[in-house]
Amino acid sequence: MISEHYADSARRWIRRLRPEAPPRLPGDRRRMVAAVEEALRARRRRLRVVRSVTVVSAAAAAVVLIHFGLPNQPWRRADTGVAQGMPPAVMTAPDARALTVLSGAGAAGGGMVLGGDVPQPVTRGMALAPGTQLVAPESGDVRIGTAAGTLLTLEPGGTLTVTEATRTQRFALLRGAVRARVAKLLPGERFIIDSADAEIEVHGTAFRVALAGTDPGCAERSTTRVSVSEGVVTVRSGGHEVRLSPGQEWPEGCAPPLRTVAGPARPIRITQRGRMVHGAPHAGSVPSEEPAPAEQPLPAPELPTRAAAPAAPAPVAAPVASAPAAPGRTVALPPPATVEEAPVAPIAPALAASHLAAQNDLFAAAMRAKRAGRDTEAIRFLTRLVKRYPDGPLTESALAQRMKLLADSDPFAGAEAATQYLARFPGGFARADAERLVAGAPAKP
Amino acid sequence: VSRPALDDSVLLASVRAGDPMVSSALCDRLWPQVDRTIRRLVGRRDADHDDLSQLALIELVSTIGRYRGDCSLDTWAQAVTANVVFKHLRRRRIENRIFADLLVDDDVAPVAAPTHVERRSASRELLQRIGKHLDGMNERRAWVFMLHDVLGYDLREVAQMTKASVAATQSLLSRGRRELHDRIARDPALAEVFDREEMGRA
Repeated sequence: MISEHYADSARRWIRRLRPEAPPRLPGDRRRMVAAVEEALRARRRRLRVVRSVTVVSAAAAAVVLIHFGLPNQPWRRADTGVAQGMPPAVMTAPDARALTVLSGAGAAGGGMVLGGDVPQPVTRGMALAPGTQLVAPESGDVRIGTAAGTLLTLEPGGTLTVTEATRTQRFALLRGAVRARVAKLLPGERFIIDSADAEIEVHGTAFRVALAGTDPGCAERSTTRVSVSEGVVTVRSGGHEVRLSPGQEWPEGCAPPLRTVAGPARPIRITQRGRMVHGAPHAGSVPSEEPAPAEQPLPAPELPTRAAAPAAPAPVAAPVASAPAAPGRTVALPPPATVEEAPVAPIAPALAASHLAAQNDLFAAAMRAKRAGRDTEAIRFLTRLVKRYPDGPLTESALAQRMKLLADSDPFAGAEAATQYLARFPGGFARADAERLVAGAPAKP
Repeated sequence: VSRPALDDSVLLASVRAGDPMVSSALCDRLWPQVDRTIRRLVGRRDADHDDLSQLALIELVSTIGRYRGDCSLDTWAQAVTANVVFKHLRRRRIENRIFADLLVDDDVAPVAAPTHVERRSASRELLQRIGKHLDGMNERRAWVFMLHDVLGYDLREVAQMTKASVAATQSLLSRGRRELHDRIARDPALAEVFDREEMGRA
């Protein structure tokens, strides 16, 4: 300290001249206690969130550990097929991807599970191992799902085979229709539904697959119909691969699935990495399309459809559950109304539970109306979708569809819609179409 | 009717669980350390004293999970409060007058001089000169010197307050003492006062 004696002197002088002040009471104790109380409440809220996240993380870790870390556990044999002479339907499977019957257990006339030694009736909680064939009753759905959140609804009369249940989940739709809502897949995971003539792989979240009768006017001659509502879908068929974006359909320009198709059942092949699949059957009693939030009853008087639209596709049957429509039947246009003012059929509340579901519903309703030739109504749905969800995942597709529909009846309106599309999505998938519509638009009166 | 004071372990468990019922007890328990630390670091009449107290108590609640019990609750409260004060000073400081403002206030004790006013004035001037030298130093060294040599915190406490290791704090202290000594040595008036005092002591 000798070499720094001035510092020591400074310390002594400060201490001597500046004695410690006596303690004092808080100026506003009530305010301080209130602030601390709020901090404690905030801490409690934060702890709750942390606990929730911890529980979810632990569950996820357990799932990962179970699936990847314990490959030799007995229940893992379910991944490799029906084993040990045990009926696959009764194998227990704690895997997050293991399929379980969620509902659809019926009494008389209920669903059946084939694939074991003896057919078994569908029971709730039943695990479905590879090789299992699920047959839905004629009068109701059978819902199966996984702990990861995937949900498949086999519609009445449908037959679905579980062909693979590893990191690749593979199904074959042999008859009927299936809707699927697939949980987000991890890297390396796939979700596949096979049909006879197409393989569809989804790189997104929601799409729909249906079977239709052979359409002579359809270039692909395929009985599979795919329409994408969200994400990207890859369809592989006949050695070709096509990527579909929201709003696009495959095969292009083909008739939509019919309600009843005669002929032998043919399996479809579908591959998906998304959420929603809907397959329609080939033969037998073909179920209706997915629940339609804006399903339109067929009007009594029949009027020519899209008479003024030269490029209109062949009239097709409207997929209405209550009124089977024969192929070739034309569908009436709704009463004339402007796009903005016309009332739109209400959306079923159950399906509008989430924004995404509501957007899907609106888009699906628009596509149904378009397929049925009700262009004005389709435009109304699309306009509503764009207005309500301007930043939604289907907005680009809705704008693209809208401009095409408008261009069919009014090239000037179509060009305006195309301009709107280009302004919003200058590099969008329908850019070429939009530019063509703008370039070919008549001069403004 | 006053409630019995909660045991520290019970109080800590309740704070960790975010129980708002213990807010009053927590304030009563930690207020003395919070108040004392603020008074020592920003002066006894700082206008932001109440705001700093509140901020320090909220910070204590928010960071209670980091308190492992390896020092007393009082020491930990001092360290957290000091961190709050340092942050505040960094934001508030417009000119480099932290220590000059800190050392000079109305309660300065008088030094030997002919009259009371002169004595008080001389005390102020002396503290102001020391404060200026501290303000001119490396800030971390000045604070470590102030906290350890003047305010009496031990090295470990200073390390906690300044968020440094004990070894680094020791090094800062040595360099701080040397730097302050060199500065005062270059200030003949102050050095003379200190030399006179040193001779008087001898």
